[in-house]
Amino acid sequence: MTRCKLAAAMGCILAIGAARAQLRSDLIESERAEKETRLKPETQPQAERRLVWAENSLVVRLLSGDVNGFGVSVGPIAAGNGFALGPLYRRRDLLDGRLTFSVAARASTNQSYLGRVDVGLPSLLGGRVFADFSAVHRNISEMAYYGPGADSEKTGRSNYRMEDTNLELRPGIRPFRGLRVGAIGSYLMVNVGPGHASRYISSEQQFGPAVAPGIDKQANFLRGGGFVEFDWRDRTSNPTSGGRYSAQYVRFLDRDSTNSSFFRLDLAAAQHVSLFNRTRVFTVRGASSLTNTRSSQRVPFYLQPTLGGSDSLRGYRPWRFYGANSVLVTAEHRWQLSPILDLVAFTDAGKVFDRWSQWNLHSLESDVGFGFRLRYRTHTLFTFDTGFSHEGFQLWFRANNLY
Amino acid sequence: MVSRKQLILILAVAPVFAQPRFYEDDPLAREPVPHTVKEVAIRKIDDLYSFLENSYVTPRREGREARRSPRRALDVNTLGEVPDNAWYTNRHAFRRLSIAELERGPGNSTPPSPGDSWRIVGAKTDGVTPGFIIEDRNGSRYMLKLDPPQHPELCSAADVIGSKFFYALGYNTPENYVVFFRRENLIIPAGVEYRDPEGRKRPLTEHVLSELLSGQRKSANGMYRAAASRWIGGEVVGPFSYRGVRTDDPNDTVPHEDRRMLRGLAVFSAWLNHHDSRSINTMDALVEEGGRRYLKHYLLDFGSILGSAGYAPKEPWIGHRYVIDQVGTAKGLMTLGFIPPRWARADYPKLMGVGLFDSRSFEPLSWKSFYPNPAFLMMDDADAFWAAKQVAAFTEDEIRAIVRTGKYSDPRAEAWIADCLIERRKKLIDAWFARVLPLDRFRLEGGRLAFDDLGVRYGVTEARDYRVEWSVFDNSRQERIPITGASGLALPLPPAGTQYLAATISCRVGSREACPGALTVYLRRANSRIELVGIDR
Repeated sequence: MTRCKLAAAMGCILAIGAARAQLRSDLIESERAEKETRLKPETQPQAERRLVWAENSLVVRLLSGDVNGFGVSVGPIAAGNGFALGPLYRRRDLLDGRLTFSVAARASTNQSYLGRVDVGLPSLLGGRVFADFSAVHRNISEMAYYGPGADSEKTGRSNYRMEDTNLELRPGIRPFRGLRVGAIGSYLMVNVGPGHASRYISSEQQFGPAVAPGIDKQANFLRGGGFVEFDWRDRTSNPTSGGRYSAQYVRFLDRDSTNSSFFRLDLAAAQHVSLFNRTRVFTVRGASSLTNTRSSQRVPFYLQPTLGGSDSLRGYRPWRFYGANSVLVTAEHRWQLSPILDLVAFTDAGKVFDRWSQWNLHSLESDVGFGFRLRYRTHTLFTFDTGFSHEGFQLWFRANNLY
Repeated sequence: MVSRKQLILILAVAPVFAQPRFYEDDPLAREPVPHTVKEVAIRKIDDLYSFLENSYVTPRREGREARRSPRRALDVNTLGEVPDNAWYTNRHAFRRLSIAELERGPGNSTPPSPGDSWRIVGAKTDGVTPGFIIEDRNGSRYMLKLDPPQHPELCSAADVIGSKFFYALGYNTPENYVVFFRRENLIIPAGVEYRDPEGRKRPLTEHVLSELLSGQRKSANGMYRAAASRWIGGEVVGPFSYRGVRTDDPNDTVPHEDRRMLRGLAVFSAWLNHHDSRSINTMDALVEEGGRRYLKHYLLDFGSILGSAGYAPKEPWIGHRYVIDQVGTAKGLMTLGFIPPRWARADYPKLMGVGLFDSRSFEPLSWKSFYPNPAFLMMDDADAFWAAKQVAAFTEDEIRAIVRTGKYSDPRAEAWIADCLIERRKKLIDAWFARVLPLDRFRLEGGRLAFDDLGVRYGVTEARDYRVEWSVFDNSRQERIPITGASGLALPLPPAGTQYLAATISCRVGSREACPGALTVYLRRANSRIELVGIDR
């Protein structure tokens, strides 16, 4: 208190001194002298201190994976299976950055579980060679199944539990920028059981093995094949030009004599064209998954191509259509509403079908919709989509861009 | 804290010491030598906090204040100029720098010794663009900043060009150089760490260094290109804020948002497209000169000026909208994007190092930084005129000379940047000189008041007539008493003993009243000489 009075009195005296000043310099000097009497350490405002505290808090650091490699893994285990999170340990600095390693586990609100280990050699021989190994175990409690084919009814929804473990190796080469060619070898173990959701009938009660092959008996598979991918998008997140085209062929060899050997060919192409200095982006995308078997074999329903969900027919529920083959086309117009927000209008159309001769764009299920993309700089942070179809509307939230 | 008796005493004596308008040493060309700073804390400004505060609070605080109760700048002398101080030094517009001096900028004499080994003593990556702190054989430290891998020359050229322009404009800037080096020039001592793109510290090894350099473009002779920014002298104590004052610096008495040199920075930033003009790109350093330790204030990191965003070419909206733009978003939503804004239709050349930079879409009065800057929002016409006349001071040759220091490998890129700057300069002059009566360089010639009309000189307006009203100015009472019959530019004969004269100048263009406002010039008789002492704009 005494110090306060003294400082105030000093201030008054200095103010009078300033008034007496004959020179501008004296005035400035006295202002400085006056301030010198009330100097105090520079501190951050309280709101800033709190924000910094929050940014450095363990929760935020765990979410950003910044606690000596430990973090929190967030994301769905499978569409329609609730919010999932769990621990994560990730290292990208092993062997001088030549080896990446991560191990993560997640549990969702509807009792689905995921555990995975990933080991990567992303850049061998000067970046021309890469190899990825993953071991993934999933226990998905509520996979939706509406029956086979395009004629399945929305009201016919059932659910089943799918438990699978996949050990997979993907070595490959990058002959030149944008092109990746590689091989796939894996061992896949699958188990299917009664669904967890009591509000839907369990699939095995609704569908027999004649309709849903493999529902009574599952197999383990040796998988082998290859892939080729060419990516010349201007950026991987929120692309505005270029395209990405990929083809993947995988042969599934049934190891348990359940007549479930088949092959699957997945084709996808997305092309982006921009106008008005990349503030408008038109994207067209086509994707098709084709399977085939020998006459005595059938593709198990749980490994069939599906349509419906945030990355295919957005106006339909996840896993809405199962079929031996599928085709999907999507057109999207995205424009910058603000520096951090894009508005999107889209339409999707697709179908599942039994025979390759039905590979065409007739009798497609379709939807339209709109959405938002929240961006930071050139990265998409979140996407919100709303799709409308004759079966109603669906809301989708993703933490990345679709294409 | 002050007793009632003390307060009465102060109020009683105050009128006796009423302050005059002009002091003997006005106009002050240089502030008094700074007081010694005893102790300063290192101040950090959180980037996220700065973004949130300036996006949501600043427009409602400084933005509203500027509209409702604008304040004149407080760091200026009686002529409206900024005296030399720890923030600012009057340079090119006041004492013309030669082409060589402009090219030299803040230094140009101590680049990292070429061909030698550069010891890496620290490193950082900012997502796309890695950087290293290096020491050359002379022990000089530099921040070596690489270009974004897919956009060679973009940031390095901008960083160097920016440092030269802002130095010539009067600011303290680091010495920046475009340098070329080989991989083997870089030496990594043990224990050096860097932050990876995820923000984690990792040891910097030969392999990591090779990875960081792997995306970089090499010249035909195997050299990498980068910008080297020399470590600023003194002890760095963190960035300065564009609002308020430092509480531990006795010399920092003017709120930063009321500093003309920070308000006017909005005009310079618009010219050079320095959208990233925020606190994080500034630095205070405790320096010692003449036996005194004081804080010197720097602008840093110009890698995101011109067509560069620092990590890639600028996005087209940059310079036209704030990152949080509720009004623009609402408009876009209502029109469903069917009416693309002008900047979205601009043409940009595909030239290496240029990025998105043009002059056609440039709108000087509505140019925007990345997010609102309190000092920029407080800028008034007088601040803008002060800045615009400095921009006008650069000739085409001088602009081209500075752009040349960016060392673009494609001459068309250099020409485009210079042409755009010349055109943007013209747009900027046209816009700001039309908002004030742009008279400058007042002087007495043959018993007449003379001046330059910058609007006429730079072709903003046609030649015009001026109306002058003279008065005697009572400096202590700050009153003007008109001199009857005194008009025109010739100095009137004032009553005996008159020390100060005031001339209020307005103008006419043709028969129309087309001048934005009058200004008043104050003259003082001192030692049988009449000198210019003040200007009210």
